[in-house]
Amino acid sequence: MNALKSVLRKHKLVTILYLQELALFFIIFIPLTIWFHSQTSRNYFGTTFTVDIFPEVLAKGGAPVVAAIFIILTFLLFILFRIYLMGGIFDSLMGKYSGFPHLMSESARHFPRFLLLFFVYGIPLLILSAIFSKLTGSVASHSPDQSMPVTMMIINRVIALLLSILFSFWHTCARFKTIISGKTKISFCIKGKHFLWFAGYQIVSVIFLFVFAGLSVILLTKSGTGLMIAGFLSMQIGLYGRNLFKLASYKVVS
Amino acid sequence: MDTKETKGFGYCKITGLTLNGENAMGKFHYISDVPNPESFGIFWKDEVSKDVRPDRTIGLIQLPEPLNPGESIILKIEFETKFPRVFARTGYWQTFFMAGQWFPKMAVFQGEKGWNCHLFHYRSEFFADFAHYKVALTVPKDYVVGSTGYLKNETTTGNTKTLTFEVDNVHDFAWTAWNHWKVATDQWKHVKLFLLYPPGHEKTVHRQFEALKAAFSGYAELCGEDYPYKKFTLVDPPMQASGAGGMEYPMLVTGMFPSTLTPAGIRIPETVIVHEFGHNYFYGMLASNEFEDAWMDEGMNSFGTAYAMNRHYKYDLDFPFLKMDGFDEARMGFGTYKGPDFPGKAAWEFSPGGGYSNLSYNKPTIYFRTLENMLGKEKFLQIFHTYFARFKFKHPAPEDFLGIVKEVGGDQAEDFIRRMLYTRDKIDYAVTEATSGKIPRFVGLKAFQPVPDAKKNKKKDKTRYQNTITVENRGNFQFPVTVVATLKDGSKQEFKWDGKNGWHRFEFESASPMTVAIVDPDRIYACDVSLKNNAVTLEPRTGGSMNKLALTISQIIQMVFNVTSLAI
Ligand SMILES: [Zn+2]
Repeated sequence: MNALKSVLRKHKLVTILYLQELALFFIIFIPLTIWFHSQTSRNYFGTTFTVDIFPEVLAKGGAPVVAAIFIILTFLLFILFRIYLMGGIFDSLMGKYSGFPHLMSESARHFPRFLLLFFVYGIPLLILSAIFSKLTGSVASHSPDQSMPVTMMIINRVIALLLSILFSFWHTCARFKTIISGKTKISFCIKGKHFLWFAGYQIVSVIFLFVFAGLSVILLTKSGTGLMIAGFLSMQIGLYGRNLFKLASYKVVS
Repeated sequence: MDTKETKGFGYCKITGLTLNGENAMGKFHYISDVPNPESFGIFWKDEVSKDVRPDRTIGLIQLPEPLNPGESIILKIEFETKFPRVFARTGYWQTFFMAGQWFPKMAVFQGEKGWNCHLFHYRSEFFADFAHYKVALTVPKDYVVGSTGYLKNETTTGNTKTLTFEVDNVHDFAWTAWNHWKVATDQWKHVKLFLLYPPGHEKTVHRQFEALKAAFSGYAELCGEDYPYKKFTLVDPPMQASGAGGMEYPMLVTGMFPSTLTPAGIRIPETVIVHEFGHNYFYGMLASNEFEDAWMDEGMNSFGTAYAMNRHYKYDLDFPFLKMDGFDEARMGFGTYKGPDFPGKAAWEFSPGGGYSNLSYNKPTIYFRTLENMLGKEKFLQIFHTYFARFKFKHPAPEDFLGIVKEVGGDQAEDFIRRMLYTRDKIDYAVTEATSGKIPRFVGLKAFQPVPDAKKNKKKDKTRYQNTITVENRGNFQFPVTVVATLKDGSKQEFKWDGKNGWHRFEFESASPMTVAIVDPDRIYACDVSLKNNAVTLEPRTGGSMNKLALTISQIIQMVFNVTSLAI
């Protein structure tokens, strides 16, 4: 629990991470809303909201392609900026938070090494997950039992989650070591107690996100502006909590 | 079928033939082995294309002398069939078998028109004559069998068992066998229902029977008669053999349940079951020539599917935030079609650019829906009732149906359906302009009014509005249409337009400004190709929904990005 308390004291770090997600929200939401309104306000869809809006408006004139390119670019920027921010955040997790400008300069200092570490741990993780999903898929496709794909899917997801927690643990160790030594360090550290706390915080962070996201979906399926705002807030609380527990898990390793 | 006997490929070949008890193998030839096969006139010349050549899917037996009316012969054909790995419709996966198109089928003799027979290929539809079938299947003892017809006898010898099925008045026979089949039964009126499902689908049994019964009731209402056979088998193939799914045979159809996780609001399995059952009316009992007039089966049946689904479930896609029925799907599908074709063609006459299925399935669905709205449900159903009663088991042709549309629905109805089939004529009404503006007050005029009136008017005489609505008929049919103006105070003004003369302008005064002008508000013309232009909104009402849609999409992206960055 010390890690969580310590991160709560440095809640500005959580806020910084969360603000990145909020910025993402507005980057998508604002153009989307403007586009929807401009396309629909004067015509039939300004009267009744029917499924025809998809083929007649939203899927017209290459819009899906533009949207896909936009989202992919946003995704790349999001990931890169996240890796960038982590340099400063790890630095502040070890020592103390000394303001946003300092955090940004630390981020810039560690960015090349952190980017390299991201690939070092990310690529094997992807390959291993793909191998496991092939294996479980093959078991499912040979069984007459039609519940097998579901069972295998659950097993596959659990394996993927455990693998990413393990890789994330090593990744985190490596990032701290890199900051301390000032050189790129690769680590496959095994510290049982630390790992359990790390995994615990990670799992809590994922559950936290899914619970609030689920609540958000429930609220959004109901009508009313108030409930829509409540749905939005629920999702944002989920994301904030997710980042809080995630940083707590990193703090465990520091 | 193909002569390749390599692993995975299937075939069906004739190994022996007797004519009135005498060996007649010498009189049998595959059509690919005879010179100039087109000269027999049994398949259409233009049916042969780059991909479809005269092949071993048609065989000829030349009789020593012509057979006169009233005379008969006895033909005995021995054949050998090797099933392919399931790819489409028929074949095996591990120990699972779905047998369709597995035996040599007689061509249909059409009197003066001669024999009607078509090459069998990937996109083939079907056409055959009604007959009495007696089929004995010998399978390993632990196999479960489902088939067309009624089980008449079952005997066991050693490790195998032989099941004998018999039935009258069907034009095809299909069966399935698997040692993993599970069986559920149910009842609809006089019909015993069987469901063969794979292990793991126990929880889907209820959904599948509900859909099947919805189909029985829906088609009975549409065609005016209950399904006449006493047995019906629904086969839910394992996903590894999903190519066998979604296919119709007499008294037996294959459905499709993509995953046990398919949410109740996604009624794909239900739609497939209803659709395949429906074929038992159009393909099974009316039995039109699907090769040449696909719309008479697929088109009418797709309408029937949407009708039966709508009647029982209302929506095919049913979520609080997204609802869609079969007519919506058909309209949206047809809306994407920009090609040169129309449905009243043989399968191979469609332009290679695609459109065959869109035109055969979607276009008839929404045009029939439009006809239903125009005539009223009662009269519309009368068309289908008369059609079914008069032509069941008789292979009706397009003119038979059009004749009944004219007889029951009148000239305009017949013209509408005929043009749907043989032209690209469409319906598209549009509101092109709508304005609403204050009328300036002329103070001077008031001075001439007698005092008591002026006093009375004082309260009411607020601002008046001058409104105009311009409607346009961008389609090819000149049908009357309703135009409705909604005012800010909630009241409505209704106008009628005969749809003639290309366009029309309505002008009227009101006490409250107009907020929406809409043409065909009740969506009578379900086949209107563009809904977007059916209204001009002066004060949008759906802004909230737009915001919510944008919000939801943005949040989904937030969620996906966050989860993807799990390990960062
Ligand atoms: Zn069909």
